[in-house]
Amino acid sequence: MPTSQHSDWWAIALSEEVSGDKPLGLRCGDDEIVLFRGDDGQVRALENRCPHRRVPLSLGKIKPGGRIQCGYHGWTYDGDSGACVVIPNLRPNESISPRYRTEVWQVCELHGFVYVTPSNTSDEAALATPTTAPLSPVYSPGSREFYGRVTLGVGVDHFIAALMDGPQLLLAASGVKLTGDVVADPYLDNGKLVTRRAAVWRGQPGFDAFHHQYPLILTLAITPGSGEVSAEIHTPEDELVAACQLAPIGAARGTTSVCWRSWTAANPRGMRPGLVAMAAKAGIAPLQVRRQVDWEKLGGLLIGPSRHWPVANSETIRLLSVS
Amino acid sequence: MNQPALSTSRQRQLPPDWVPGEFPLRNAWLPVSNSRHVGSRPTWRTLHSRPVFLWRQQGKLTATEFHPAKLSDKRQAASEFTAGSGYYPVLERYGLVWVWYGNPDDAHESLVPNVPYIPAEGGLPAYMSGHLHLNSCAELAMENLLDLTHSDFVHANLIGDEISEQDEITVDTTSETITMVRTCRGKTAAPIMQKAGGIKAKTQDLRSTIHIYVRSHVALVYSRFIPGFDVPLLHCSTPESRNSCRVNFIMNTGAAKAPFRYVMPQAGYMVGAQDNSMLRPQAPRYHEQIERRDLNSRFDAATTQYRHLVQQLTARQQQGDFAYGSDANISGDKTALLRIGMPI
Ligand code: FES
Ligand SMILES: [Fe+2]
Repeated sequence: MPTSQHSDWWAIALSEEVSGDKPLGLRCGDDEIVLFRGDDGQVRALENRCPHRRVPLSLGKIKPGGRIQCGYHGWTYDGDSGACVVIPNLRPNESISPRYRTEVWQVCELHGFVYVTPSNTSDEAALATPTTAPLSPVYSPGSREFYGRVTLGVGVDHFIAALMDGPQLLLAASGVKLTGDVVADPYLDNGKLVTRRAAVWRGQPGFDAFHHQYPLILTLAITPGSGEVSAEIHTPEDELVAACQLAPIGAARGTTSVCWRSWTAANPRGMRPGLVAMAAKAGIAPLQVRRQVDWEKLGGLLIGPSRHWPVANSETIRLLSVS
Repeated sequence: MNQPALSTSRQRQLPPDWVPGEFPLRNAWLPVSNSRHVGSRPTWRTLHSRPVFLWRQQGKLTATEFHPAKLSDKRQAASEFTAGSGYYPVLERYGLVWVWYGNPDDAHESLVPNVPYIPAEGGLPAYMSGHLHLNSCAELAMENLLDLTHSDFVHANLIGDEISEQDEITVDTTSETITMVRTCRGKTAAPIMQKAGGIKAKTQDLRSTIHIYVRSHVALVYSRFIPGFDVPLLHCSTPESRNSCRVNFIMNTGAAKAPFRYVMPQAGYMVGAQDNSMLRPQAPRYHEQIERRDLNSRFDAATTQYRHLVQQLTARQQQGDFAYGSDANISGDKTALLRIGMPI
């Protein structure tokens, strides 16, 4: 399994979304990418633009041998090298210049996500052997898994900041009410920025005159760079109630496209964690990204722990590590 | 959060490439409407983002920059395209309404493109004509016509695959026109001819001649299928804006068998939708920040020459030269050039 401390990899799709039948066109920041699965089961990623007349390759067809054929004039590209390998109607003795190629992205599939990183197409050696691989997410689904993709009308940086400051506005949990209360300042753990929030069981009292502590904790661990987020709800005894892995990617027009996967513990202890697991068996996702966001509330959300995020690059990490 | 970018590897310094649709070519008759769509009640079209109102005033065809009800109020705002009068030069030919886009003083009937297979006075039955809206500039739509290899992928269900025993293409240009002749022997018969035209043969010989009047964005497409019929098509991609064009088409299928005669012109709507599925996503990519030129194969000779011709015309007009070249012969009879009635 590929592991690395530094992540230049971006989880841009769910494994289930990438099929061998139809290519998938996606936006990743300013770049447009087409993903497809070859007949060997491997996912390929190319720039979603045919260098012939610029049509998105995602309108084309997947061909045997890890190739993709453009839907306009049928130029066909090798998914591994990006080289144009077929121009229809050429005579057998006519060759295609090696200059005829499209940009390639390296791909890695891990834990139900498809990761990409740019390739330097001029460096053939780098193409053949991935040098770095995704930072492995905290991932141990012990039960039925849920997944989905949500596109929200907020930029990716704001999405992550809002997740730190008001996770209850963006996440929905089964049987659990997330609160806006901070439990701990962000800290660094294994290169991830971790923040903790309070949560309560639905229908149960929380922190009030009669209850001196919250019954649940939501932990968010953010990977600086890629912005991947692991969200977990635990009891104070560290019993996992629900987990969700989020991969937010900046999409077109300032939106954010979030792929997520969610699960519960395999054998939860306690009645209420057990109920969440049972609900999951019945088809209710334990922790997921909300499709409907209260934008009014999000707009009024006060700044909290996210103060540490906008510069959560190597510099912040250095500062946080020494503090 | 920094998302990955390929941008650095793409940057290359080149002289600026042609951006289709960026320069509105002037001094040309542009077909804006089918004649039968213009009556006594004003209708409107757009030419290079300028409004054109069309109606018949006591039977007289009129084209103005403003709605007739606002004409007297707004006349002061009239542009150079009507020499401040608000009235565009306008005429009718081949069942279409043509508006002069340019200096009204230069508008001459002799600059109306010749279409030999449609009666000059129009009057073909309504089923032979149609109109489409494409989400690309007129230039990309014209390239699509000149580009033969996309039929195999985009229009295969109508036109058939591109497999033939022999396939020859010639391209000729003047300073104002481009002509492409394609001659195929033993080409897989077009499904639409088999289904609606009673053609039993598995293969056909085909000669297709495309003649484009570049300034007017008007294309004559004359195809002869043996066995089969002649399919004479007038295809006009009139520029509405940098992002759209209006296609008025007339297909004179009068000599063909029914139901092919009726079905074939209507297939234009399906062809248009198929082309638009590629043109729509293609068009905005000619405005990319980082310039990367299109790659060509030898099958792109016609479109490359078309681009070259548009660039040359643009350069001339940018220097203030709007005259038609002496080799233009815009209104001359094109029967021989299209090889109408000649064996393949
Ligand atoms: S645009 Fe892709 S093959 Fe022509
Ligand atoms: Fe087409």
